[in-house]
Amino acid sequence: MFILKLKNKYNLTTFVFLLPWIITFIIFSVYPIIFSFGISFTDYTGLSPEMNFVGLKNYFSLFKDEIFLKAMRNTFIFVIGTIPFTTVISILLAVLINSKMVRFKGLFKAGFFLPSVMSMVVISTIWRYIYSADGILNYLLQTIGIEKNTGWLASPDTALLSIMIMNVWAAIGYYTIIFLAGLQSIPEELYESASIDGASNTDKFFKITLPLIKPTLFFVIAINTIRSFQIFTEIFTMTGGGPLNSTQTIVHYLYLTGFRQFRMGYASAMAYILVIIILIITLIQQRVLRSEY
Amino acid sequence: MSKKILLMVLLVGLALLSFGKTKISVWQFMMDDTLSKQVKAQFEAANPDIELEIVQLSWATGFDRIVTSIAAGSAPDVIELGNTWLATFASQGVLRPVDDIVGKVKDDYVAWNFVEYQEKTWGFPWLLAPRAMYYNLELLDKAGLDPDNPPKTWIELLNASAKIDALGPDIYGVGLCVGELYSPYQEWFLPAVWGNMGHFVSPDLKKATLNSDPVIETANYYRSLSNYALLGKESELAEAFGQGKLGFFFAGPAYINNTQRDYPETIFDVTLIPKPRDHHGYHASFAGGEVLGISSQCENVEEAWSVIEFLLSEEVAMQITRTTGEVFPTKVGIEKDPWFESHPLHATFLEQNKYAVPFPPLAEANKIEQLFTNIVEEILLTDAQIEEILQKYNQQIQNLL
Repeated sequence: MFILKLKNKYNLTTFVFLLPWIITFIIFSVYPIIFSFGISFTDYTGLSPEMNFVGLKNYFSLFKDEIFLKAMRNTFIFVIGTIPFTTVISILLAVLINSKMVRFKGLFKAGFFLPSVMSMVVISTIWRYIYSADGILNYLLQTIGIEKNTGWLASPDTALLSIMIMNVWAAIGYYTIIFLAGLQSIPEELYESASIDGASNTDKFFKITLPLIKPTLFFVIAINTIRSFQIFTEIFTMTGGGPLNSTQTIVHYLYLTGFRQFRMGYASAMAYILVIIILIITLIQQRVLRSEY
Repeated sequence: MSKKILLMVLLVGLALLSFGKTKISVWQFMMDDTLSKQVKAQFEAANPDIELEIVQLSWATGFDRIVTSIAAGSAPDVIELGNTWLATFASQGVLRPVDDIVGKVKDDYVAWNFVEYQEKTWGFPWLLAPRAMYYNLELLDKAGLDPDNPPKTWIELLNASAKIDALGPDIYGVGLCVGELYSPYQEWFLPAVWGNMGHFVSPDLKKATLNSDPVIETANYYRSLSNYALLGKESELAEAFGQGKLGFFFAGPAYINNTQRDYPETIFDVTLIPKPRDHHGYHASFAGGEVLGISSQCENVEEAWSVIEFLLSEEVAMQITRTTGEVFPTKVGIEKDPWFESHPLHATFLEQNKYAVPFPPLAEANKIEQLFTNIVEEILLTDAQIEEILQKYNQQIQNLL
């Protein structure tokens, strides 16, 4: 069937043009995915070519691994703790920029979007200075009489929260722009009719704006959920998972296990657990989407 | 026409010449691009049959590149490794034992305990980076302490830290590392254990001894020190020290040049790490360092050795010292080099190196290092009982031995 289709000149040309991408995708995505699934059932270290089949041992061991369980808990806290804030703040900023009251819209858009085009390594480094023991935040607290001899990232009580705050700050610009695109697709006449009917701004927001940007809303939540589950750069740059594994996340622990402890098989099993988690959540979100539309 | 023939002959000649050369690749962290080019030119001039490729790795991703290249079967011939990584790499068969070569240079260099694992030698000690104690002369003076007589024992350090800490809300007695891998235990908890004549593992490396009296005493002292401490990452502590907010902190020589350059107004000195008591223990320090290993995938061992011999030489190693100020050659008698006369702070680190102890050569060293960071953070950041903390991690270390 495929060959028959290829006989069509148009299809063949399309296929030839797609071939470089397909080859790259097979080599750099499909092959590693299959290979890592295979090694998740072995004791492969990454350093030695030897590997022994261990069955489901890696998967079972994960659920007895205290650090992995803590990493999973932290990842869920991170996801649940950041997504609502990112979403709500992004919507509010988008509505604000979209309103007629605000001038210099381009400036605001560029300003909010700036963190999105900056490297996360750069952002993390800047926030490290803000959060450091003698950083700006502690200095400001000192001026109001609160003394702290530990950096915000060096305390197990505040480290994860600090990274979450930074992440919300860094992410809102990108999602604001997406919401803005959604808002601008709402016909102006709807608001005008509502005004004639005597609707307040709050009514307009909840009865017109929010229902009509629902597809954008679901898109943002889905994308943000997947991204948040994969949080790595912030942790790698700012805390290394510490102190006391208080900022350990699944992907960072996976990295540590594979590349620092040389347990590639174990790390691969962890990756597949993460795949299953993301898959389940994405399916739930899709189901919700389908029920709405 | 004749020009074309001449060009072809030249090209063929060049191709033949390059085919006749043996290529040796070196992956390293310490030499920057300029120095690498200089070293390559010097080496190739002296060894026309060898083509040297020097790749500079970054501290952030270099380790991952090494691991990936080994897994892919394309490891470089010569690899620079931190001395704490050596046992793990050796245990995985990544490195070639070099006992057959070592005899040629054994008496010329120090720190062979960096490269020994299970009674074999797996590389060559290249560069040293012991830790010592930095102290702010001005803060000592303000606190009524003698700047010319910095603390030499634990109790003197504790008292001095308390006095400096009392100088103001943004002044701290001492800086202790937390919040990152490695530095919390290397600077200074584990060396303090060694200085207190303790060990976390028995001499035969089979039994965990973290719950022994010297370790418990050290942990209690460490916690008491935290009352006057600024806790943070090493770079944060170095910055606070530079800004004149810290009395003491422990680190390698890397911060001498940086502090002098970025904070010229801060007057500081370096001294030996305090020992437990006048008549007990010693000024133990963490023996950080870099080693050169030959990959087990290397097919030209003789040529790889020629490269290593060149890199080990005083000429090259001292160039690295002069350029970075962070490490010192392992060459015997290097302290006589005139450079150290004009760099007295660096010379103190060489003196400190006499008391430097490397991490024990354990195959699971990388996992135990991570546990040690947790131990220090639990001591400094929680109220858990010291004995309970040490007992818990003693069991975990025992499981890894």
